[in-house]
Amino acid sequence: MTLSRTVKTELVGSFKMSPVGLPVEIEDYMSSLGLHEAREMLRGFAGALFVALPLLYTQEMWERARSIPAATLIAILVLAYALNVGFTSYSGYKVARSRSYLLWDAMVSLGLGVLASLITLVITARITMDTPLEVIMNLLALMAVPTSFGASLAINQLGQREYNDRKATSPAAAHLSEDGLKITATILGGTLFAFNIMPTIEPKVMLVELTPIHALAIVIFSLAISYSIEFMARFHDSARNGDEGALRERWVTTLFCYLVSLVSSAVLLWMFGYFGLNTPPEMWVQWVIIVGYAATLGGTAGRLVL
Amino acid sequence: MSDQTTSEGKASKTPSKCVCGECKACRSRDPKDDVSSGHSHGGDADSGNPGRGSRVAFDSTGDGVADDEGESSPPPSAVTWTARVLSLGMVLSLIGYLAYLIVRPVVPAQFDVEPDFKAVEQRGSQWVLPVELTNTSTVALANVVVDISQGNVTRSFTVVLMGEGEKAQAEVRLPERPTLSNITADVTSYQSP
Repeated sequence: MTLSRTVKTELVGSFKMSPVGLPVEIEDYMSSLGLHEAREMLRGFAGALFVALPLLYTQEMWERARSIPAATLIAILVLAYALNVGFTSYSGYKVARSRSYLLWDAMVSLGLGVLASLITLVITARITMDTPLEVIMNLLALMAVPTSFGASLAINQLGQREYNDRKATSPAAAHLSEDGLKITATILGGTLFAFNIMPTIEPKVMLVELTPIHALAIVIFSLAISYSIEFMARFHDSARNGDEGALRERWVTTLFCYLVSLVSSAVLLWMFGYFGLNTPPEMWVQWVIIVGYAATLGGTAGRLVL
Repeated sequence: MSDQTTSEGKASKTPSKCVCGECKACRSRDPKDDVSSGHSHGGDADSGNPGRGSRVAFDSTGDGVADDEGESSPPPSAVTWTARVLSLGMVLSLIGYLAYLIVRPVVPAQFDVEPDFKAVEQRGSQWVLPVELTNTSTVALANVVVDISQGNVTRSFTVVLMGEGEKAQAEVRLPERPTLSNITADVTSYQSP
């Protein structure tokens, strides 16, 4: 499938520059382009802190950052960039959708995430003059993930566009099929929500005491609550299941998106170094089910919101 | 004509308004019309010039009429470009440094335990000895146990997690004045996190 010129332009824009003092009007407000763009950066920075500060204050995040191998951290950064492109296509830190350039904005979100993480870790003495460079880089690489998510979701968290509907999504996102939209929303929402519990020790503690009956109960409840929230609670009219795509049946949507949530959870657990190829199946299956509960809730919310 | 994506996600053709600021149609049009419509930027997106209109308007919903290049707002200014370049630089630096960590030689677990005899002080009937522990390997290590022995007396402390090159300080209390000759200090156990 070839991308239209509009979509290509939205992804990368052009390598041109406007004057900083160019007067612009947005939503009946006049300011210079440079000042407007500075506000956009500030929005992204604020969004980064609002989403990620709890994780910046989490000891397990500091510990995992020290122990995750460098190759895995690179993979995490690349995946985070891809997810940021997804988040930016639905939200971003710019009020004007027409000013969004997904690939660039996702990169700036990562940059804002690194900056927000660095400042927070320095002023909370998690990074000091004695901290080795290797540790600083590992910390920034890992902390930039949730903070960049926050930057990419700044508008949805702290502001709003003129119309909170599909018009506010990017043309690139609007090109997705109904099935693609559901899967994307499930991955984005699930990852965002599960990331808050992923690095903590609590899921591991639960795992120790979990019996197969408990695991089965979590699976059944995850499916039931996902179906209920999406199709019965009627949060808003977007709880739709159109006639298009393979996921047009409600139960198929619930079941398939649950599987997507489980896969997302497994990927996150692997990236955080909690399990690998040597982990016994009975252990990682239950671990994925525990984290998948959170990912399922987040994914369901993602399908409602996006 | 330009591609315009609608809220339903289907591409439709929307007539675009020339905004070059130079042609006859643009010269005859009142610049205020562009602003009040909220649908065109009234400038030349290619050059970054605002055109004859003194200000540029763009909408918040993506409904803005795109120009012939498909852009519906002016190109970014130096503020955004600076943020882009700095962000790209930071991320590439992170990835580059992490890549360096991958290819350099791995040093297995090893430590440097340094009692600071110059800082020894007496508190009550005991002597306090500061000790600095350094992880000199290239791997992170957890629950590092250090034993400080003086004759039959052994004092221990545990460091929960040590990243590569990290240092940890502790103080141990001993019954006699610690000196280089009557003290042994060593790491006795650790875990791979």
